[in-house]
Amino acid sequence: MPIKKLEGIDTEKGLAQYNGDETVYFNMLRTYMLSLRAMANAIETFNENEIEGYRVKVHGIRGASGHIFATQISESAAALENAAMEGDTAFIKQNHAPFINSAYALVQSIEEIFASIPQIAKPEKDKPDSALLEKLIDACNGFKMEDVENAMVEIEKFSYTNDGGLAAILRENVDMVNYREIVELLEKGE
Amino acid sequence: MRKKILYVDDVSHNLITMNMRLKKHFDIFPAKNSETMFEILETTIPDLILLDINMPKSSGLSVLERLKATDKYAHIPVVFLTIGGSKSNLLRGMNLGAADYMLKSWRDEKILECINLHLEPERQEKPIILAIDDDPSILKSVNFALKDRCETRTLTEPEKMQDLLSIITPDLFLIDCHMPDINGFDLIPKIRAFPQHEHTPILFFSSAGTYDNVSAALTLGAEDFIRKPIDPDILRARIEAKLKHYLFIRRLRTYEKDII
Repeated sequence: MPIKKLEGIDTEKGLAQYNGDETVYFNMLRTYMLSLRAMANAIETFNENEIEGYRVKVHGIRGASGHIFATQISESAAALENAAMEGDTAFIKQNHAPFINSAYALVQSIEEIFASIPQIAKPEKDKPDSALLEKLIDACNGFKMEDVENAMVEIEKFSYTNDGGLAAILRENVDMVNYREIVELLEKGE
Repeated sequence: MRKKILYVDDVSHNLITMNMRLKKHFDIFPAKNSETMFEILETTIPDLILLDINMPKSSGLSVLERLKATDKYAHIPVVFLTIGGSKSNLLRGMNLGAADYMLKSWRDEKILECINLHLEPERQEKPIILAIDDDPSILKSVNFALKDRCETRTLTEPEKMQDLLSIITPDLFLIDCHMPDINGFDLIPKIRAFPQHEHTPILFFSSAGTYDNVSAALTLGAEDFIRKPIDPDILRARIEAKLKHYLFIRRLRTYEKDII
């Protein structure tokens, strides 16, 4: 199984956390990858004048990475967080770039894992049903997390030949909990 | 009816993960920042708010402050979530009115237990107060004042206190300064000799609220001094404040290894 070969994450422990349920674990990995990429993007360049914002971001990376057993990234983030708390900008300047590079490398490794998974053939449709999109809008407007996920799972039961990548964009925004953006995107498209 | 939990965290992965962990039991409403949190609160009053301490722009502490300053939200219990935040931040949070805190690394059962404790306060065990006074009528009025919030144990013979402490573990002591055969202050070292009572709050009461009495009590390590005759509301308010602080600190000590 490709998931067992993911460098930088203890996938055995991660899987065990979800009772060996690979579907759930894959979902968690996907959201972690998106969050890690977003957080790394946010602090790609270290700005000495925004050290508190930097501390909060590396703190976020530390927590999310620890939870998914990406121990090395988590520990590097903890060291940078401590340095930020102590105002040790020399340490940050020395270690920031390698840290960001390793974060992006991990993102890429996870992306490669997902790319290597054979796609299950799904029934085809032209575009997602408008009733399902309405359901997704309602769930997003009510910030009902489980309803949002359920609506998205319904949408993903089909592959779409003419949606302009909409289903993929929606999935990414669902995973990033960008509910306002989803509503804006879908209402704009109506 | 399922309980509603509003979870505020700037990291979307954390929001998704927590939903995965809690969705069997609760409806989770996610907010990535305080603006979204207040937007959700306009239409949905949750039973509890889980709040990340470390967030960009507005920290969990400032969000808590705004919540507690808003009448229609002030009653909602707020539990801080941290991956091992600083003790000073947690203490500040408690002083601002946080109900509790949890570590994100806790097992699901422990997180659930903590949430349920604040969703159903009636399930919480009442703290135990040991009140010592040679006058039974005072003890009766203490018991009456505290009966809804605490389990009061009373003792008219202070010399039996040590035996009693081998059976019960009070969360707070309320002691008369002047009793016929013993000075209440003399009980302090005897209480502190029990390792579990190294930090347990001790409050004194006396009809002689003189400078000397109050000063002696506070110098010897008492937390507070209450003047007789006892005003039930004042007694309740002071004891609740001391207990809240002490029980929170006790919880912090339990998880000290996880905290910076």
